[in-house]
Amino acid sequence: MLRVENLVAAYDGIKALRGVSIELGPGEFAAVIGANGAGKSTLLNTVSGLVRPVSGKVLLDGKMVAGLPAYQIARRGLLQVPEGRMIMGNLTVRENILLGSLTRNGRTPAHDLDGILDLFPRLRERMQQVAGTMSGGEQQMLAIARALMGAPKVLLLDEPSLGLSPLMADLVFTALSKLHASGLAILLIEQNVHRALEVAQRAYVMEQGRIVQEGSSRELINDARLIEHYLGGAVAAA
Amino acid sequence: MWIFGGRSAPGDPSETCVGRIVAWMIAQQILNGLITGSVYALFALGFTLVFSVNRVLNLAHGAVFMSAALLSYYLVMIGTPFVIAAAVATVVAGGISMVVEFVALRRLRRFSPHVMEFAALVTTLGADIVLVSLAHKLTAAQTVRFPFGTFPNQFFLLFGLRISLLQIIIVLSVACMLSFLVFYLYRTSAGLRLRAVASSDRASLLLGINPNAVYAQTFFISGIMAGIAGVLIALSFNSINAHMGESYMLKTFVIIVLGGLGSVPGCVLAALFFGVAQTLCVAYLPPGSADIILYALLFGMLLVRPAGLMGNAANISVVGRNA
Repeated sequence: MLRVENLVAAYDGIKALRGVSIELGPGEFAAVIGANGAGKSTLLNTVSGLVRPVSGKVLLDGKMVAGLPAYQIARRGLLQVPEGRMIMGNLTVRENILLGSLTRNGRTPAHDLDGILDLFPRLRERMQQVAGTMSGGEQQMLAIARALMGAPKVLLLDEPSLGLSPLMADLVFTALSKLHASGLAILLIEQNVHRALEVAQRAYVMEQGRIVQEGSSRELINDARLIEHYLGGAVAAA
Repeated sequence: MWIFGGRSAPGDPSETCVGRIVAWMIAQQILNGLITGSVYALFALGFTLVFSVNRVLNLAHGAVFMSAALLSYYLVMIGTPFVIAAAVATVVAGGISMVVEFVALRRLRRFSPHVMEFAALVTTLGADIVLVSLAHKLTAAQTVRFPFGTFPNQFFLLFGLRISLLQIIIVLSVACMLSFLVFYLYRTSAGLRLRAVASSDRASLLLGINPNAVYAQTFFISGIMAGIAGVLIALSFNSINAHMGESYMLKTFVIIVLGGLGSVPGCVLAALFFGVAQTLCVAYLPPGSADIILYALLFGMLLVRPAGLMGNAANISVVGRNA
């Protein structure tokens, strides 16, 4: 479904990705974990086209998308829910959701509006509300709902639990599990290692712009030495 | 409220009364001011639209306005019927505005916003100077006028007040353009995309929206609005010269600050208010004092309500829900 081969990206000449390869099969749920500054967000933004890769390949359904402008990558169904949610704060919830559906480009969405609102019942009550006035958790739900309206082939999520209360984070991760169960391919970037390994099937560990370890979530979560070594204080925080 | 549908025409000798005549004159001035203000609104809205979406003060907006006026004049002079000349000039103004976006801003967007915003002041001013200098050459620095009879000089009575055919046309075209803008912004998917880019261009990219296409679109619409305003003003004062856009730019700055940056209803209200205040100042105050009062309004508003009439202090630069 999504294949990233030897991806290299740099900011101002400093390499943030040093040859990253990952693979996500249809309906698979994988996570990329790692400490702050390991290059996780850069990976996602390069895959999405916000950052231009220096070299390497990003293939969606076997077609090369690396180097395309971000809006074209989004139209092809590789949809990112960005860090910090980036909902359109002065548009209503309904308008934000409608905006998501403009990305479909002829694809039939697996989840219609009703299905999405069943997944996030809180949004149903707030359709007419100005999105910027909602809580962080609700905005995160909206950001996911907006991406789902665009009929994603692969859903990319950047730190969806960032800044959320544990209760809200639970709701968001439960929704992600349900989406995975319904067959959506998901790639999750997360600092909260425990939560990430709970929901994802597989995970990649990133350090200094490289993938240094990969395995099933079960293997990784039991590898105390590895987790402590690569993620340091993150475990304590989780 | 006798001025609206009074029993007899003001000035009727049997009813002559100084108070009524004064009230009638003021009412007539207010009507004229509202009509002038509606053209200001059209011009300022185009400027605001670009500012909201691009975060750029397009200093070439006045030159686009002037270009439309001048082009309509040349088209009339080569025998084009006025309506066609006005339409062509308006569309060309939209095109010129898009060219301004392309040459003066497109390449700047790779820089960080504050660098871009400052550089844009210089580049759009450059575009303005190019257009104004061209017009200056074309007109040989003369003020040109439409030939007599280009537009029928007809007057009607509206509730006892005098209104010209041109004024009616002005009100109608401004109302049409305004309705179009509101419909476009709030009822079409293109308008939704536009508001999305105004809200966050980065998030828009991730939603499959090409911000460059939206930027070009806003400049086109903005240019159309400047163009219509240019032709209407050229006709109203029957006077076209290369520098005619400049005073409108200055007025626009006052209007958008009064109305609240980025607010559509605020801009319209402020423009109408400005038009009336200007007309009344010119009519009743010593010559030269109008500008002092009008520009003092700017500082007064900043003191009392820095976000403007309808501005939202938290998010002033966005055409959003309440915009």
